[in-house]
Amino acid sequence: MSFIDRDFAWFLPLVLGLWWLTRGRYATQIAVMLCASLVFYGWRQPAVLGVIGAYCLVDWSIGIWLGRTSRRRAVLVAGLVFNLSVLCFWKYTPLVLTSLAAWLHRPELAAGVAQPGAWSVPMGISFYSFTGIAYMVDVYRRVGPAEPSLWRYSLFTSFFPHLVAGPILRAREFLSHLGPDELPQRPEMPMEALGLIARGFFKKLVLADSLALAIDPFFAEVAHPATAGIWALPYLYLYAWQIYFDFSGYTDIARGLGLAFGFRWPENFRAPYLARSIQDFWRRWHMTLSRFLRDYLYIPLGGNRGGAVWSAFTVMMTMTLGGFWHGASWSFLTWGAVHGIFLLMHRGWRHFASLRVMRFLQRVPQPIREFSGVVITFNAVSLAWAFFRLTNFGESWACLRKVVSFDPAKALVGGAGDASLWLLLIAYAIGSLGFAALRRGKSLPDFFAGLRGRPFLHGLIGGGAVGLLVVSLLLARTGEKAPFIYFQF
Amino acid sequence: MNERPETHPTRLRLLTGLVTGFAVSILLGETITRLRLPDDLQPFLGEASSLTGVYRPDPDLGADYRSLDDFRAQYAARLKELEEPNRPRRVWAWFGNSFAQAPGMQADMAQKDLPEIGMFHLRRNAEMFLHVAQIRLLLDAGLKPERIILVLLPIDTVTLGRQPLRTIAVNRRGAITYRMRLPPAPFDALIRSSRLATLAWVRSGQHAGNPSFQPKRSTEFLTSSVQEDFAAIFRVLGASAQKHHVPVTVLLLPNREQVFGKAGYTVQDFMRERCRLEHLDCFDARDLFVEEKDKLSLFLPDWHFTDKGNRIVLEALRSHWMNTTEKSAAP
Repeated sequence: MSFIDRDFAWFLPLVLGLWWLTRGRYATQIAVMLCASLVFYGWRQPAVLGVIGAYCLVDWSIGIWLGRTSRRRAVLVAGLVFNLSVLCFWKYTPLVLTSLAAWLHRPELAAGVAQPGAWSVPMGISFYSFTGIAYMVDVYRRVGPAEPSLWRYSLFTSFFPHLVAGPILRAREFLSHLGPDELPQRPEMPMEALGLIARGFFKKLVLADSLALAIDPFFAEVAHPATAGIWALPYLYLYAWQIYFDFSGYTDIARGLGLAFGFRWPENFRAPYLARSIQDFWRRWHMTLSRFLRDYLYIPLGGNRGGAVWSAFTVMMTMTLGGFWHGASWSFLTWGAVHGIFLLMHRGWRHFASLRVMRFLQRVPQPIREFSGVVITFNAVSLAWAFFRLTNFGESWACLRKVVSFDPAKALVGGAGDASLWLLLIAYAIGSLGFAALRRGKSLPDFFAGLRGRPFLHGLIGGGAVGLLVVSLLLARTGEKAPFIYFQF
Repeated sequence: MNERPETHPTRLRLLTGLVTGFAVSILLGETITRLRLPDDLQPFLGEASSLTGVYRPDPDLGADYRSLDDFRAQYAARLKELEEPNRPRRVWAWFGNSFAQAPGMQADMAQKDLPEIGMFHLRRNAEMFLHVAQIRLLLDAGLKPERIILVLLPIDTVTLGRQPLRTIAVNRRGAITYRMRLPPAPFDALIRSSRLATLAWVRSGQHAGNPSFQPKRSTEFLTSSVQEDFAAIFRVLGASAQKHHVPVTVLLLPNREQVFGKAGYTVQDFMRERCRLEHLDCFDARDLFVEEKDKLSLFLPDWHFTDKGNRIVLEALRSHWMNTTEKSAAP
């Protein structure tokens, strides 16, 4: 099931109702949330419930074992090998087989996976395997205790709002709130929850899906003569916004649902396209993944320790693996590597800019420097999306060639020439600025907490959120809905 | 610390905020809808629709082609085939939905089995009334096929069931649009003035000429408006056939529910009767499918017919023509 499925419209009220009715009965409440999560996950793919069940059982057992054994490193390695092997099996088998078939000229090797739909990866497998890895490593590092209850651990991994596409949670952000004395008994900040859910649906159903409709035909034919002369840059810009609205919309809904059940989860996006550098971008985009890669890959590999060359190697390694995690394609790997190169270039630039001969740069007014940083970063990120959107390497190159080589007469043909789309984006930007002005620099929780003494504003936000939800549902694409992009990862 | 009790002015401010916030969002939605009109709204906006087409209003069929040239422009490639020099002299013209015209279906199967006859078809789905308009137009333009076959299934009643012929409104740009059913006053004014409200109305399904129409029941029950519309369409078909002396056969195919005994044959019974009244030849294929033991072998996964299913129909149809020719030739 997905948040945009019709079935979710009855599923959520039912689960919330049962959760509310079972307040005060700890075991029943845990059971309700766990069963709901299994129904959500197994709704269309009941067979893959076994995968998540195996993950829960193994990771929980490893956690318990880590608490009792003296051979902690070996046990951790066993746990990591299990998680990564299952993940790699599901995600990379088609790539390995098709690559082998091509190299060995034996097409029969890829016969079982070559057809579209012949191999289906269990929904959200990357996210719950990462959750499991983070948990085991934290137990190993003694950052958190091993969870004694299998049911609580299973709920931590599989709770439906965050199961499929994150945010990737650490035990202390969620598992520690599932204990008998900590389990929330009422929604946390209902107004904020409503606001997040409404914003999430608006981003997905209105913004992301409108952008997808406009740009998909171009990307589908990007290497075809039919798109000769068309300028690819506006399409990459629009895709940058589509994936942002799609993924951050999902996260908004997930965080809003978390609040509805009383849990506050970390932010996953913080205005990423206002990043002033590529390093800043990765602090604002998919923040829980960046955090995961930093804490469980980059730092263990050596991080900034061990000299400039080793540090550069670990950056490249982390980003390339991060890219490859997104999908079984050389194109994703390239996307990660390109970001690694950008990060190294940024490091180099920082070093260069600090030299005496570059002092004149400091005389450039701060706003101009910052604005230039935002523009350069946004363009770099948008160009790199070519490798993410088009998983065929040749198509990615064709797209990038069309960024520099195009016919000015038909540069803005097709979806990118639709002025209403750009107006929609401008309207979104104005709305976001308006809301930021209303917040006056406060964080979302502080802002919503402060609404209690301001009834008009309280009502305005509440009414606005309900209206936005209604509008989103009304404007949703008819027929088959476009799934969330990150569901494939 | 005790919370401050909610006073009347506080509640009023809260309520004012709620209404204002809701109104702002709705206004935003209205703006977006006007900026980016959803495709499913276009057929119900009449003159305000940006759709264009090649049609004109028609008193009998609701819509007809504006001219032969417009029709030719739409089907240039298919019509060109009729002018090919080495084309067979004998032509059978097939009309109907995908069961007649899709690759591998009735017309293709007939072409494979009877290569000496040219099987003409337009290869494009259209509403049932448009197929009859096509037949009328082509016959009036001088097409003289040996026979015309119009393939009909219960699904052909669905569009007419929802949107009767009287709701068709061809706009000035030649597009087929439909008059919306409006709610009672004062809500009708809201629908007329707000695109967002129109969208909500259309997506609720209440806009349709006959909102209570249930496609699943259409094999069992034909509303009076569907009956009237089919009567009108068959009248046009019968008149055209008689005017040009071209034999027309209405081929009635069952759908999968009927073949598996889950639905009755009210539609086919009604159409047979209309054919009789308009002196049109009719072949009802229901028995061929019902008598088949391995019924699943007749269907593709998308529930179109397999080669076997199509061939059974074609052979029975040819026997039917032979029988009717013999009967008409008998003293």
